[in-house]
Amino acid sequence: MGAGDGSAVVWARPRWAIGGASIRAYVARRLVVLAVLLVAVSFAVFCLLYLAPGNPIDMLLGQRPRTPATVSALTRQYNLDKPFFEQYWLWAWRALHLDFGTSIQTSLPVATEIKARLPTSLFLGCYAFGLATMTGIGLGVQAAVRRGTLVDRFVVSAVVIGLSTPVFVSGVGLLYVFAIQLHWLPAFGKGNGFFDELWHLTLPAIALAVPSTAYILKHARAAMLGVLEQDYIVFARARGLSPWRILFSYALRNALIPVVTMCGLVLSSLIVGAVLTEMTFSVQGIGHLLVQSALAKDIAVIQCVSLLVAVSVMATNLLADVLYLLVDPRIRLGRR
Amino acid sequence: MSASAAVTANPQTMTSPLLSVKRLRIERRTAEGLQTLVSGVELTVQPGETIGIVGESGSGKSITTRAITGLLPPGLTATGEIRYAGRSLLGLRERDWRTVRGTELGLILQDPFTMLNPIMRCERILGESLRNGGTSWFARREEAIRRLAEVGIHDASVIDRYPFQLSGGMRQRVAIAAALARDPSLLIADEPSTALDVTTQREILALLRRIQVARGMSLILITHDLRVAFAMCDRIYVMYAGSLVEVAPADKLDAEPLHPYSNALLLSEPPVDRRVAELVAIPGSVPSPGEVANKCVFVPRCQWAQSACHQGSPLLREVMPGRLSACIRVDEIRGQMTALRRQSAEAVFRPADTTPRNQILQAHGIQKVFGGQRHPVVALDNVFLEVREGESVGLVGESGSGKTTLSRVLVGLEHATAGNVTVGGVNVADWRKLNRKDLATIRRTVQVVFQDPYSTLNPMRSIGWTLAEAITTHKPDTRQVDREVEGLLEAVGLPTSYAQRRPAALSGGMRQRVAIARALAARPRVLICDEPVSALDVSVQAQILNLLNRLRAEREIAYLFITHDLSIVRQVTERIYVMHRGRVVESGTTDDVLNHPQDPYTVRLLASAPTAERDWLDGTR
Repeated sequence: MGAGDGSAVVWARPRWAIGGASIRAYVARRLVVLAVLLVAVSFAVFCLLYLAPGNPIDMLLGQRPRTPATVSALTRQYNLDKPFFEQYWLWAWRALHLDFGTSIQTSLPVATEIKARLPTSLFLGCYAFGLATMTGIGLGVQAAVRRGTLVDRFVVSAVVIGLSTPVFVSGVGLLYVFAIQLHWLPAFGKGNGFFDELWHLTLPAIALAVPSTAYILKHARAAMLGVLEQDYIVFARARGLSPWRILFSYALRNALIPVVTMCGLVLSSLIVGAVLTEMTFSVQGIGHLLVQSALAKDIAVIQCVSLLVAVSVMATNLLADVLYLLVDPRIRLGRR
Repeated sequence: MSASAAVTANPQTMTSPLLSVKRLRIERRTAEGLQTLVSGVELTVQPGETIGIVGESGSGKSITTRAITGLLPPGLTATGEIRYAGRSLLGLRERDWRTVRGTELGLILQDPFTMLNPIMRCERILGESLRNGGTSWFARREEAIRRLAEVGIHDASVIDRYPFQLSGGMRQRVAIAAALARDPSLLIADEPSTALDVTTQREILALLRRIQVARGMSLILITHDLRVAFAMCDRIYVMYAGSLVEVAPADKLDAEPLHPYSNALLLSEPPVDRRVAELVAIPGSVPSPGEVANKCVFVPRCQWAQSACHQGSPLLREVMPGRLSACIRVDEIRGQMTALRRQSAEAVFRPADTTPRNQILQAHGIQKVFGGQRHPVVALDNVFLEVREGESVGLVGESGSGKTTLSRVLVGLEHATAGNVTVGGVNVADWRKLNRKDLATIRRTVQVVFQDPYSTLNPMRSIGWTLAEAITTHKPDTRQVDREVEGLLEAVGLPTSYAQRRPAALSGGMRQRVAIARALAARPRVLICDEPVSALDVSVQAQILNLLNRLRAEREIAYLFITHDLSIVRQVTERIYVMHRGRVVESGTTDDVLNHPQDPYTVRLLASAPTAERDWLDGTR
């Protein structure tokens, strides 16, 4: 017998073969599901045109004069004379080629409008995401390690404030203090060039990051507290391992596993959910565009933005799940 | 072993000890002030010596070793003196501890399933523990493989596995290898085999002893099982409620305990080789150290307690050369304790009449397959089992043997893939097709008592409410529910006032009594007891076993007793089924099977049951 409780040892494949194949299979499966979802979402988005009050021609005309020529041009352009499902098919086919029609506000192709604003939104979202994860995880870990101390109590109360302050309040507050009173940072605009942009988007990014930071912090602290109580931490200390190794490759590595999934959700919300921040700081991003288009009933733009939101949520979710697989061997290899 | 035994025989002439602990006191800061967890602990470990610290839960044995390794949980402080090789350990700074932990003192914990970092491969776990961190990757890997071989893992591929891919026994071996990586001179093993199966437990203990001898290392073994301590240790420290009550060489303690608690603990261990008339249980349950401050800690449960025992906490004193006891009356009561042991050994169990009776529970050709068609896992394979009225049947096996699955099939918590189950004359091949009346019949016939008394009672409801609910569920027209509740509490030996209490106010043993009372409310003809005492302390275990035996005599209930512990089966059953990997490998009367086992698995299981003999651990790798 000895070591050979044979049946108990299940995996005997070479080290590097484990995981890779199963991850590829998993991602492929997820991509299929994602495609199916995308079809359903795009159909719903297409239906927006018909769900909006009034008839589609009027919607698509906007402020332009209604003449037989414009009506027939729009009918041809949007295939409104074709059967409903064919209309959808043709619309979706063009959307697949990034042709979403023209904006009624600017008469420019929707894709151009989006392309002009997406980099700003991406920049702002990733900036805020960086701030949120770094401060959230950093402070969360600090609070957990110093559980019950003043630091911990301060951080925990800050979480409550951060979670319950809406962006337009914290945004206005930041503007007042840092832009108007102290003149440290600019109050609006997006700047040119990387560093100027970083400079201009700092206040919006902070305002945008506050609730997400609080959210991540709360979860990171809870996860860390759970991990610090584990036997394997005691056992690592009992073996005389260095405190840094225990903190990083034992406590943090394990505590981050649940936090990673959550960060994916936060990222998508930061990129496309920055409506209030972009309005408060007059940043010309996707959120800004969405509000303008909603006011102008610019249906083509709304459709495009909605699809963009859906795709980014799906993509970041997939990313988070794959990360989860990579960081947790128990999920990757199937716990027995 | 003989070398260390020779040293022990003469404690006065020993050289300076490797580890000495004096006046150790461990306290917890609470809102109400300081709460004492451990007090007055004195112990020494010689180079190459194995000592055992034996005690039940709450005795302070684990906390003591945490204090020795400087790993007390936050909020706990230790005072006194701890010296290792002349160096004072108490008050060391965290960075200084790193020169002690791992290199001088090693520690392994109880649960191999939580002790290893789940996201590290064994190679890293071992590699980071090895002292020569500077050498090449290849050299370190080779060294790690050598270390695994030392703990009996000769399959080098284990090094590339994660802990969750290994069995409990393998994980414990890896943990031992990691704890020994920096070659400590003293290893502390805190219940290293308790979470493991019986057969694995024996292998791990044998491994520890082999390594200890081979390395000439000192070993502190923490255990609740006196028999394990007798088989492993040179000297034994018996702890109770935060204090040491007796210190003695293992063989002397086995021959004659010199403290009423050690004596009682020895008596409440059910023997595996014979059935006793009645186990000698210790009344009550283990107190917290605060409840027994300033008196002898065992006073509330001691049959020889006198007023003198209440006057201050007695100190350990040398009653014979090399033997210390904290009992102030030990000289007066020695004879009586010996008489008690002899009486228990001589009392013969008289078996009840064995006339064949009606069958009430039968399983026939049971097959249970889990998982899909691609990866079928056969949990039960053509299992036959029957229970007749009033008889007690044991179902023995280790984890993964299918015994719990079988019990779940019997009560309808799982559906058998194939085969027939008959309960009280009702065919229950498919539980989903049964009508309300048949279901009621079945529930009145079979009830279950589960292993963990802490999670089977609703914490928000009083005991009385829980019992009343059970009573009215089975007999909605019951008039005097309160009286029924009182009757049930009396039947399981609890004061009727306990009906007002919540489960949180009860000890584990009391909760298990309540769980039994709740099962009895339905007036079942068969009680399925799934490991009903394995979560309980030894001294309480005997109480529950005696209770179950008494209830059976009073109420003519049949038992299906599921357990991994052969000594328990010996005490409460007449017939047994031995299960291994989903099949019944052997069945028959308990005496026949345990005295003359036929199946090799039964032989191995029997050899794995701890006995106090030194040679118990011989013959394993």
